[in-house]
Amino acid sequence: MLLDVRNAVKRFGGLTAVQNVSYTIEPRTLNAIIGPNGAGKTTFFNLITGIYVPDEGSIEFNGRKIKGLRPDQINRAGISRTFQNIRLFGAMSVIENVLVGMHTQLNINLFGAMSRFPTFQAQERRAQAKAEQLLEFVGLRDKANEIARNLPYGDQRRLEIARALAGDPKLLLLDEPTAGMNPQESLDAMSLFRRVRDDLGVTVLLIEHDMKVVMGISERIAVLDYGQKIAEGTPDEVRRNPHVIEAYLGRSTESN
Amino acid sequence: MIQNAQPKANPDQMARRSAIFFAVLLAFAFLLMPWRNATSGPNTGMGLLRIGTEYGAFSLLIFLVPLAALAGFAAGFSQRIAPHSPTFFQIAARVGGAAGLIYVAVAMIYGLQTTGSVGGMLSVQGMGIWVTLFTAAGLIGLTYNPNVTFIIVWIGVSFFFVQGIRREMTLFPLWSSIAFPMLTISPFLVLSIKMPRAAQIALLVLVVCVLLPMVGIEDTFYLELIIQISIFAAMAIGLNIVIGFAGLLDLGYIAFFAVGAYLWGMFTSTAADTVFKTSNALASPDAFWLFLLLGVIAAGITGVLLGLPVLRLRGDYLAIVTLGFGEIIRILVSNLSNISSNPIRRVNLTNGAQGLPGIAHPILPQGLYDLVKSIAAAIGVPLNTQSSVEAVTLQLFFYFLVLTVGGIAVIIAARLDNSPIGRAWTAIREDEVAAVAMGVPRVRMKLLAFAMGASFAGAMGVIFAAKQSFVSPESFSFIQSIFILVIVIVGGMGSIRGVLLGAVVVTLLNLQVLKNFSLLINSLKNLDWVVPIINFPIRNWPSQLEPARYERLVFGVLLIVMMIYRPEGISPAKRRRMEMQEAADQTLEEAAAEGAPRPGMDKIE
Ligand SMILES: Nc1ncnc2c1ncn2[C@@H]1O[C@H](COP(=O)(O)OP(=O)(O)O)[C@@H](O)[C@H]1O
Ligand SMILES: [Mg+2]
Repeated sequence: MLLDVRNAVKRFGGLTAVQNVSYTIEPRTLNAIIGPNGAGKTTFFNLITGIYVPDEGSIEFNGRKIKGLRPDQINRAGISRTFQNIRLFGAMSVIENVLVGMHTQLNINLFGAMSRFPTFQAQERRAQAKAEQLLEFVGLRDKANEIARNLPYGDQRRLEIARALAGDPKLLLLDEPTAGMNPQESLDAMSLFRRVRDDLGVTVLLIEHDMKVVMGISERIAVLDYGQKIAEGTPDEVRRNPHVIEAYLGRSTESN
Repeated sequence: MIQNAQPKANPDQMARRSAIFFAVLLAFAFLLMPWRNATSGPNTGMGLLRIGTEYGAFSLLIFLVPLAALAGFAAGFSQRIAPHSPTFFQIAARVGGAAGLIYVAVAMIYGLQTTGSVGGMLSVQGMGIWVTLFTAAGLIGLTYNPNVTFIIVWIGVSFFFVQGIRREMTLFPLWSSIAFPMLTISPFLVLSIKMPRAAQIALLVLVVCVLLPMVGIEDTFYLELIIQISIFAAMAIGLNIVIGFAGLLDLGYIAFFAVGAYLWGMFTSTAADTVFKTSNALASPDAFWLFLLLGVIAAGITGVLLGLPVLRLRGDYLAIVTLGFGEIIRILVSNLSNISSNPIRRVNLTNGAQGLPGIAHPILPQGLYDLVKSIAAAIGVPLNTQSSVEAVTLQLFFYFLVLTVGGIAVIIAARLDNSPIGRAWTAIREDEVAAVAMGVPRVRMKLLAFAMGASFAGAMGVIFAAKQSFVSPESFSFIQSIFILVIVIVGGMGSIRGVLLGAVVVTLLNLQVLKNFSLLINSLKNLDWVVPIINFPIRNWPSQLEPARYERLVFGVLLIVMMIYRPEGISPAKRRRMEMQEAADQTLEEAAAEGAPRPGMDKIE
């Protein structure tokens, strides 16, 4: 088991955004979380990545308790993510964004940076080369020196993925990675997620609204509704689950 | 020879322009030929030419000038007749250029013989202008490179202006506040104009290590100004790390300067004796270099101490707390004295509000004094008294020290900016949540920014105390923090070159230009000058309206104007410029999109 969340609870004042959710992920799998808007999916991501601390419950990653660690420590432990509203470092160049993502992989040494000793320069060159590889991987190689903010929407999403991959994570959390994409871009994104798992061996967990994407690539799907996990299983199981049908048909299916 | 720096420009075109410029210049010289001045007394006329006339052999050379002028004219003229004969222009420009340079060289040699010293020669009225113009013409002709030439003209004219104006002159304040800023800004022009690297370095060294010290030896006020500029520049570089790189608004930055200054002050002034029961200072002036290092460390630690409690704060809150911190340090040094009967306050470390007097200067080797004395004599400003030799030597020492330390600060800041550390700072500034989610340890990086920024101010504090040999809490008031902040904002947040330029502009405005306007008004008052046309006797100008009294008003207006027309600063960092544009776009978008979340609110989706 790579990730093991047990009975996680997160409350915001009177609202319980995540209610007693237990959830596990096996290594090298492609997983999805779906659910209507406001179901608590993003909050669940924030609990895993340490941006919020669960009020109750426990989170283990790779056999290690990560609840209560700071976000940067959790990132160092091997969980990286993207954001629902893209959060790039807009004024930095594309490649610099990826380099920031590599922070935990680099030896951060004040005197190295000030003296520019050969070891420091070698590390910078290696980082640069790796960042270029990653950009190649997501298809942004030729935009390495553009300013992140000036990229088209789809490219920004892909850059966020490259940045998240730069820290060599074991688990990659993608929060609505195809939101706002046209069908062709969604298809490309799907193949990218697969390659992340197949080529890089990174376990993927994504929040997704586009059912074509979800059903097309995920091996396991969990459904959240009002902060509770109401179903979990293979795409077929979830599709037939009456709770899921009710949750989706009972309210607006369109949620974005 | 300097290579053509503009590969894109057509060399023939360049040569043609050079030839024309050269022709015009020499034609002008031709009209002022020595025979016009030869009959007048020894102290009139145009320096360069007049010096020549006293020597028969030299007069021969003079004929080169009209010849070259004619060649240049012909070159310019034939552009119309034979537009496709570029070689002719090139030859004309080269001949003219070479003639101009030879002319300058010979005139300088003869001038040296006549007057006995470089300074003497340069102080011959008009000499400077001519040397500059002819050198410029020569270089244009020889290199076809207008950029290099432009810079040389700029440097030459401003240098000779600064040299030529004497304090006794009525219009001294006016000319000096034009020429001296021109000279101090010239290094930035050198850096920002395209030219070969070697030429750039040579010109920088010329201005910084030769011309400015020369000006300074002649009039130590200028040296003082440059030292002040450099001190503020180095501190602004430090503050820029905190504000510009990491995005942490620090309004109490001067406190770190105080830490360095009082560190040296307390240990080498005799005022601390009551605590330690010795009649001597605690540290010997020899320990200066050690203390420079200690100042860096002490200020760095203070930076961390300030950083710890304010890490969770952002924006306005951070600004308020840092402001308070700055005041705490100032009030602390005002109160660590034995003026009170309260036994706890009998600890005299800082001598309170009166300040610490008699702080030691560092001890310099005797050879340095002798060197400065002989250099001063060589450039024609002999230092007659022992005390003036000492004063000038010390000032020169501090000038080069501050330059070195400031240079190191610039290098460190630039290297940090372009390293994982700088990238992490920028990431935190851009989006703190995303940065930590990418593994950037927020606390450590912010503390590092505070410590690095503070350490620059600490070093400058030690130097400042050693130079002034007196420190008092007044030098560390809130307005000083604001002053450095203004430098950073005016220059361009996040941009090292911008901040340096800001230091020059703001410091000169504050310490020279405004004061000079007051001086000018006073000297015009003494002359009973009446403003023509409106017939306003300057005597009636109320002393309350002296420009020097309005420095804060001027800064306020300057800031407002900057914020309206160029919020990213004079020489902005690339990133900042875009942020400013984005901010403008955002407010528009926000107005359009109703109910959009406010930026800075922490809902993470
Ligand atoms: N920081 C917060 N403060 C208060 N309420 C929040 C906060 N973050 C999320 N919520 C609330 O928690 C619920 C779940 O939100 P979220 O996790 O963003 O849903 P989803 O990502 O599934 O659309 C929503 O009702 C939302 O308003
Ligand atoms: Mg969400």
